[in-house]
Amino acid sequence: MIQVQIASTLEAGGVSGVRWVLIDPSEAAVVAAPSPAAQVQRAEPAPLPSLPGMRVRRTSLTLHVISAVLLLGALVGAWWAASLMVESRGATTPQAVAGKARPS
Amino acid sequence: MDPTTPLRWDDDQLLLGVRVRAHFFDPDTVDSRDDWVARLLPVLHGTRPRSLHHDGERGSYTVGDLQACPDAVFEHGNGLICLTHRNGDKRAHDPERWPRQLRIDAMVQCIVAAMAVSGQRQLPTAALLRCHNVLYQFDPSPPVLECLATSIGAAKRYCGEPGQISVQQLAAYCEPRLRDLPAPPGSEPPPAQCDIAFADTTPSAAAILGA
Repeated sequence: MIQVQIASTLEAGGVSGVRWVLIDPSEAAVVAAPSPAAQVQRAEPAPLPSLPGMRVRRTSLTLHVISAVLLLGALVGAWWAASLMVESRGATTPQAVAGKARPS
Repeated sequence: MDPTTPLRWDDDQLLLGVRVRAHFFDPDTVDSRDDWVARLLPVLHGTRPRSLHHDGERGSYTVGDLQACPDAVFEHGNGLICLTHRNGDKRAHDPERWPRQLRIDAMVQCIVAAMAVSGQRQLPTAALLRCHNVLYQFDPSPPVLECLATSIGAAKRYCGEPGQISVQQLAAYCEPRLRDLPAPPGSEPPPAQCDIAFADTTPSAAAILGA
């Protein structure tokens, strides 16, 4: 411990009214030893064990099936919409209109 | 002159647990003196403390992990004087409003520097701050001294310094903690913002708007 003395009064010939406090120089050694970051890393809990492989595979298979169904649904929807558009355009062509207008 | 003669202090206030004494002087008269020690310490008449360094030179003082380079250190009778000189700031402090003009960070830095000087030399040390037209002497209370002395390690970790920390780093770390200390009876409320900013520090927005 290092003593520090601060004078409370300044006089013409010196100082008086000393207040003192102790400073611990060993605090530096405590700081300089293993760094807090290293201690924190060492104190971290072990990682959780991974889930069983079967379950992981099943989860990924379900995801694949769902995405495939969604993709297929989207394709069918697009096909249906396109066919509807083609049909409606074919009904309004001049030939179709002429055929409809021709007297039987 | 009697060595125990009390010096002439013009005012005396308690700021953040620190008894602050102020001696105002005419800067033109004092700065025109031939003796540089008399220019720096106008409160001392008839006595001339012996400087431990030449004029303009700074010594390095270390206690624990704290390092200080005060502007001047004098041997004065049975003790030392640790002086911080704000010679870059030419703004005058008002004898009526000086508690609001004195920067708390400058005060804490001055006390911390005196602690380093005392710790290395093992002598009682007086902490003085010389501004343009005023000389301050700081007398910290035991809680203030304890806060400063026990915060060196924490301030070092906070600053991420592998070696020693400076007076400015420790003062910056401790200033909010000193504001949190219970105010002793009869103390002035701590100024939230000083009216005067030193030239070597960046003025705050409040100081600019208030000007």
